[in-house]
Amino acid sequence: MSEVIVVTSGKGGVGKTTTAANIGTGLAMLGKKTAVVDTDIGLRNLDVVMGLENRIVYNLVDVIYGNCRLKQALIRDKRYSNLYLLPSAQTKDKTAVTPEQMIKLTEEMGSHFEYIILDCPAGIEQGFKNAIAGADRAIVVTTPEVSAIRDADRIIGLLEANDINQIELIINRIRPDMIQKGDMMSVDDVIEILAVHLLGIIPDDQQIVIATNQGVPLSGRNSPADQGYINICRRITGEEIPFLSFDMKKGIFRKMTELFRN
Amino acid sequence: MLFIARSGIAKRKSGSVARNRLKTVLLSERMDCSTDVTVMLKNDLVQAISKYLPVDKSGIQIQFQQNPPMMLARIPILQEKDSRKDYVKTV
Repeated sequence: MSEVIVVTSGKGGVGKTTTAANIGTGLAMLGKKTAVVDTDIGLRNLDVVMGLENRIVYNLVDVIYGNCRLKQALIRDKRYSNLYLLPSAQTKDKTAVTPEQMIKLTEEMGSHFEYIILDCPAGIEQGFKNAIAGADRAIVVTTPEVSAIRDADRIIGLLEANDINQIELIINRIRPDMIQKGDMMSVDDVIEILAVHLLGIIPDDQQIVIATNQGVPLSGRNSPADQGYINICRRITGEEIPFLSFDMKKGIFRKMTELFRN
Repeated sequence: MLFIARSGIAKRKSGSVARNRLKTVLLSERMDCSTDVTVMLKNDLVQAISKYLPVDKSGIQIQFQQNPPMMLARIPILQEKDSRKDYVKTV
């Protein structure tokens, strides 16, 4: 049984690639055989975030065109033997692939992996259509900003129109201090506006920038964002995990009972 | 009174300003009611109401609200200084 999950957002720069990388790593750490796929053809990104940029031989377009076998293009992560990356092509563009070819690819990958995480390009054009074509479920990433939420709303509508019914939200770059002051929309505000199931919240965290600089996963840093991603991965596998709370008086990340649960 | 109302708006936290702006824009987007449609709607409303009352066209505001879904139109009516005189005349 495999599950194909697309990570999407509409707006660029909200943390799709970081989220795809960390969810992939987290699922692999939980013992799940996982592949992360960079579907942003022409703008390769996921490989540098994961620190695998020097090991690319073949890419997604090569597999689709039959230039190589799937196994030859997959890069096995150095740290987690359950984790594989299928990198994107850098020289082609989004029109090189069709949604039908993506469905065929994800079906082929389904027999090798428990989870397939698709990192979707920004926008709602061909690249987005390709990425969602083979997906069983979707993770929409947003930040608590008007532009990102507006785009997330549009994306949710498009996912529903494409019969992807399991849609879950990650709210990234939460600043508890700003929410406390009333200068940032709270998790409840965002959920109320988008009316979608919450998968997790990721606090704004310098460790993300540091980990990305180094091309290593967040895991093991015991930082707030790392904890957020671990919780998300466990929820993906079906565990019930309470959401992080941001009670400033009692230390920032005290766990709280199911306040944000439906 | 006006001053108090204005300072009240200025003190509203930016988080709740963002929430309200988003609610408004998303409601009209979800209904597929674009800005163009809102403008046409506004013009039609002005035309209809102007038949009966003098309307301040520059002050018209149209908003959408969630829960319950509702369109709110704020249409200021011009009040001329000597309107009372006209009223007496017509009587």
